[in-house]
Amino acid sequence: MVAAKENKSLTVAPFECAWSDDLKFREAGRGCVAFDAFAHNDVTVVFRENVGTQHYHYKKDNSPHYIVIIGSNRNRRLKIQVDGKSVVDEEASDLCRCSLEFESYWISIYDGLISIGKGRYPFQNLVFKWQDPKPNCNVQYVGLSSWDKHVGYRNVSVFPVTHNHILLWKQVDCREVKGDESGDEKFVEEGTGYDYEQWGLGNFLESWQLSDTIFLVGEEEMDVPAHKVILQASGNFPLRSSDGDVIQLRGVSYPILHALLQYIYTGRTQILESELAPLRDLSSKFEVMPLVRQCEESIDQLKLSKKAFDPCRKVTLSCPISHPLSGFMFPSAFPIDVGKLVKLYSTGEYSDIKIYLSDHSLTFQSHKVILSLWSVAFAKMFTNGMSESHSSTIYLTDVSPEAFKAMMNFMYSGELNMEDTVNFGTELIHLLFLADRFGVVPLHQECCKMLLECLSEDSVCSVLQVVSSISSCKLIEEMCKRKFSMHFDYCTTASVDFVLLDQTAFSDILESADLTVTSEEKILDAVLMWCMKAEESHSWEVIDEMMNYSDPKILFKERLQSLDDLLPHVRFSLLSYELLKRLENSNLSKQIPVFNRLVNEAASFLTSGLICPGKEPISRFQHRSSSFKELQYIRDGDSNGVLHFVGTSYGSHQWVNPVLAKKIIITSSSPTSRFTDPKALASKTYVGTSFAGPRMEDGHISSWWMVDLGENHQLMCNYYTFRQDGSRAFTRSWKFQGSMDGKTWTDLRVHEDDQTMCKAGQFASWPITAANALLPFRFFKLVLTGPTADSSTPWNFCICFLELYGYYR
Amino acid sequence: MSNQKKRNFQIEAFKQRVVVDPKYADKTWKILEHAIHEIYNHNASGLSFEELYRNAYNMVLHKYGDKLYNGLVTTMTFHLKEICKSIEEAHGGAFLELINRKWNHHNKALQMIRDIVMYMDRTYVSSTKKTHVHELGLHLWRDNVVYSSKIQTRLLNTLLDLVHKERTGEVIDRLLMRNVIKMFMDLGESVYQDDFEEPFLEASAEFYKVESQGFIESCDCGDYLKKAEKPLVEEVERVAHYLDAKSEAKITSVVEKEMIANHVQRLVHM
Repeated sequence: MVAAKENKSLTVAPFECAWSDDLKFREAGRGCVAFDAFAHNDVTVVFRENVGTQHYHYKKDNSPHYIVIIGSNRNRRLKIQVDGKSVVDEEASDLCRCSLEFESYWISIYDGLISIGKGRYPFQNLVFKWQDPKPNCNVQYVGLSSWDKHVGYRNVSVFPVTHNHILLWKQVDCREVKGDESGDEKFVEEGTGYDYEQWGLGNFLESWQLSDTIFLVGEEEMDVPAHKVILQASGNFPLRSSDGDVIQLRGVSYPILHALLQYIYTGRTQILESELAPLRDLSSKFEVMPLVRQCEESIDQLKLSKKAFDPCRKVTLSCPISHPLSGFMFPSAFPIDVGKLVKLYSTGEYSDIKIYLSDHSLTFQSHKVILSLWSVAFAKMFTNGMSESHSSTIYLTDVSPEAFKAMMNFMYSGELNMEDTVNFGTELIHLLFLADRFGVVPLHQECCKMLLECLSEDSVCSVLQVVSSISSCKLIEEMCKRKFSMHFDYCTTASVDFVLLDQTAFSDILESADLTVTSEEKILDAVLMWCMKAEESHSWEVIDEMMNYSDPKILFKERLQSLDDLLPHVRFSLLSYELLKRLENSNLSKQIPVFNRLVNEAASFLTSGLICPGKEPISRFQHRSSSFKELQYIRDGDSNGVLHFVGTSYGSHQWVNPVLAKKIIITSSSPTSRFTDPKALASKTYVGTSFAGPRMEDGHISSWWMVDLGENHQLMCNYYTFRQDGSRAFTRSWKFQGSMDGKTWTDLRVHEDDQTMCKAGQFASWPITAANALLPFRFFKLVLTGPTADSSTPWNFCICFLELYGYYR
Repeated sequence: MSNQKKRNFQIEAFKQRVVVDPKYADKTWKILEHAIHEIYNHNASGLSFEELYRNAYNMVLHKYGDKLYNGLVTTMTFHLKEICKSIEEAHGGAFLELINRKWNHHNKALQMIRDIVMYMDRTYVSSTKKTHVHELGLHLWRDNVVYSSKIQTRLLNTLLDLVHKERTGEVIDRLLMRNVIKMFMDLGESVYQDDFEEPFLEASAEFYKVESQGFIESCDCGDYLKKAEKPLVEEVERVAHYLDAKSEAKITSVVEKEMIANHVQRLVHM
C-alpha cells in the first residue's frame, strides 16, 4: 500500500518548501500523506498540481492549490487555504499546537474532502475534516513547508486513498463528542494560572502593578493607572510638569481613555462608531499618531459607505504591523516609536529600577514594566512581596555583562544585534541561557535561530554539550546530533571535544539511523576515546598498546561501565575478517569481556553466517543505510577514482564517459569549446590542448574547473589527481575546494608556488590531509590563484584529466 | 551566514558549568527549604527573590529537578500537617474562621513558592508530566487538611449545621460560608460535588421532608402551595450567596420533589 516512503528526516528553513517527485499522489486529487513534524509553529503542507520551487511562497502562488497549516497564528489555530484564501480557521481542535517533539500527523485529500488526523496510523484518529464545495481534483504533489521558524519532518509517506476509508470516517464522527473530559482541571486553573506564551504588555493594561502615573477621568475623577515609559514611547503625554504623576482628564469619558490605553498596551481596540471622533481628539492631544490616522481613516470610510448610522456598531482599530516577520511581538506590533523607546533606555528617563551585576560591578538603568512585559520571572520579582518588591535596585549574579547588554537592547528594540561582539559564539550561548533562565521566549527563539545558522561541524560538539541542559532547546539538540552523526568521521577526528558529551547524547548519535561513517573502525575508535575521556585523538591500536602497561579500570575509570552500553553500537561484523582476527587477539579483547563477546560473535557470524541465539537486536549485523564506498588512490591515472566509478554506472556497467552520460557535470570558467571540453577531463584519452580560460568575477580574473557529482551524491575527498595538457603553462598557485551548495566553499588544499608540474602531459596527485577531508561535499572546484609558468597564457588553467578519490556515496 | 563566519564561530568550553561540589544539591536545597519555612512563617519580605529563583533554576539546570520537586512536596506537606494540627485544636466558631485564614495564607505562600520555582514548573514539571506546582499545592491541602480524619467530618457537619441554622431563621456569617465553600470549588469540581454538594443535597432533602410533613398536616392546599414557594426562593438566594451556580438546578429539584412531587396525591385529594 505504501507508494513512496522517505525515511530521512529533513528540516525546512523558514519560508522554504521541500518538494520531491516521490511526494506525489498516485491518482490526482486523491491521496494521503503521513509524516512526523516538529516545530515551534506553522507546520505547513502544500498540495499542488505540479512541484513548486524551493523558495515557494504560498501567498504568491497563482495556480490552484490547497494548504494546511497546523499551529498557525503562533500555535493557536488550524488553517486551511484554497488558492490563497482562508477557508478554515479553527481554534478548538487538537491540531492548533505544534510540538517541539516529533508528532505524527496525516492529511488526506479525496476529491476535495480534506481530512486531518493525528498519530502514526493514517485514517485513524481523525481530528478534523472539511469538504471543498468546489473540489480541486487535480492536486497531486505534496510540498513540506514552514513559516518563520524551522520545521523538521521525517517518516514522510504517501498513500493512496480508497473509497473504503471514506466510509470508515463516517463512523468515527459519532465518537468525537466525548473529547473534553478535562473540565475538572479548568475549574481549578481559572483565574490563577498565567500563560507564559500569552504574557506581554497587555497584562499591564490599567494595572496598578508597577504603575507610576494616574489618569483622573471624567467629573467623578475615576483613577486609571498607567506606566510613564510606555506612554511616552507611544506619544507625548504631559508628564514633565510639576504634577507629572497625575494627568487630569475632566472632559473625557472612561471608554475613550480605555480605548486609547488598550490600543497602546495591546496594539488593538474596539470602539463605538460614535466615539471615533472623541478618540481621535484625545489621541491627537497626546500625539499617538498611528491611532489618530486610524481613527481618521475609519471616519472617512464611514462617511463613504453611506450606511445608516448605528450608534451601537463597533469599529476595530488595530495597529499596522510594521515588520511582518516578527509576528505579534513587542515593540513592533505596538504603536510604539522604537527610536523613542530606545532613547528612554539610553537616557534612563522615567527609570524606576537599577540592575547591578554583582560579579562585574556594572549598573543598568531600566524600567520595571519593560522587563516585566518580556519576562514573568521579572514581573514576579518586582511584585511578589519579597525584598526586591520594595527596592529600586536589584542584584543579579551569574550573568555575563555582554549577554545582559544584548538582552536589554532586545527588550527595548525587539532586535538582536550581537554578531559584531567579540567572542560572538560564547556570548550567544550566554544569551541563550539568560533568555531561558528568565523565560524571554522570543529572545530564546532568536538565539536558537542564530545558533542554527552558525552551526557547523566544528561547533556541533560544544553547542550540544551546552544546550543539552536546557530542556527548551530540543530542536537544536536534534539538529546537532543529526549533524554529528552525518559527519561522524570529521566530528570525532577534527577534535576530541566529543568526549565531553554526556552518555545519552553520545549514545543517541551512535544509534542514529543517519550515522554515516567511512568504516566501523572509526566508531570503535570513537567509543574507546569517549570512554577513556581521551585528551587527544587515538586509534584503537594505540589504546590497545596502552593496555600493555595499564588495565581497564585505570584507563577507563568511571566510564568503564559505559563500554557495555556503547560497544554494542559498533557493527563489528562489517569489519574485515583479518581485522577481526587482530581484534580477537588484542589486549582489549582479553581484558574487556563485552569486547571479547562482540568480536567473537562477529567473527562467527562472518564464517558461518549464524547469529548467536538470544533476543538481541540484529541491527548489529546489518549494513548501515547510508554507508560510503571507499575509492582510494593507488597511483596516477588508475581506475579507482570517483569519476571512473561513476562512469561504470557505480560499478554495474562498462565504462561510459560520465559527462556524456550526464551523471557528472563538469563546468569551467570559460565557455565550452574545442579546447575547453568537459568530456575530456573525465576521459583517459590524452588531449593536447585543454584549458579553462579566464573570466572576470567580482572584478577579479578567475579561471576554474568545477565538478558536480549530482544532487544525491557526496564525496569525502582525500586525494586528487590532474594531468597537464600539452602546453607548458604549468599551474603554480591554485586551490582545491569543496562545497555542498555550490555557493559557499571550503578549502581542501591550497597550493602556493607548487613546482610539481614540470612536463607537458604530466600526471600529479595530492592528498588532502586536513580534517576537512572528512567533510562530504557535492561540488569540487580547482581555482587558479596565481599566474601559470607561461607568461603568454598566465590565466589558462591547463588540465586534460581529473580524478577524485575518497569515500563516496 | 558566510561559510567563513561559520568556521569562526567558536564557543569556549563550558566546563566550568559542571558542578564539582558533591554537596552542591544539598546546599542549594537547604537555602530553598529555609525560604519555604520563612514564607509559611510570614517572613517572606526579607527573602531575595533573585537568589532563590537563581538557585532553583540552577538545580533544574544541573538535573536536580527531581530533588527540588520532591523536597517541595515534603516541605509543604510538613507545613500543612502543622496547620492541620492547629485547626484541629480550634474550638467552636473559631474552627471555620481558622480554616479560612489558613487557607488564604496557604494560597499566598503557594503563589510565592510557585514564583521562585517557576523555572522548574515551566521545564522540568512539563517534561516529566508531573503535577504543576499550583495544582500540587491544592492537592496537598486537600489531602492533608480537608481530608484529614479529624477535620473532614467536622468541617462538613459545621457547614451543614450553619445551613440548617439559616433555614430555621438564624443569621449566619455568609461571607465566611462563601469563602470556605469557594475553597471546595477551588480544590476542583469533584471535591466540591462529592465532599460538599452531595451531602448538602441529602441533608436538604431530609430537612424538607420533615418540613413538608409538618405543613401538610396543618394547612389546606392553597396555603400549602404558598408555603412551598418560600423555600424555593430561599434556596435560589442561598446558591447566589455562597454556592456554586451549578447547584441551583439540583437544589431546586430537591425542594420541588420533597415539597410537591412526594405529596401530589394528597394535595389533589385535599
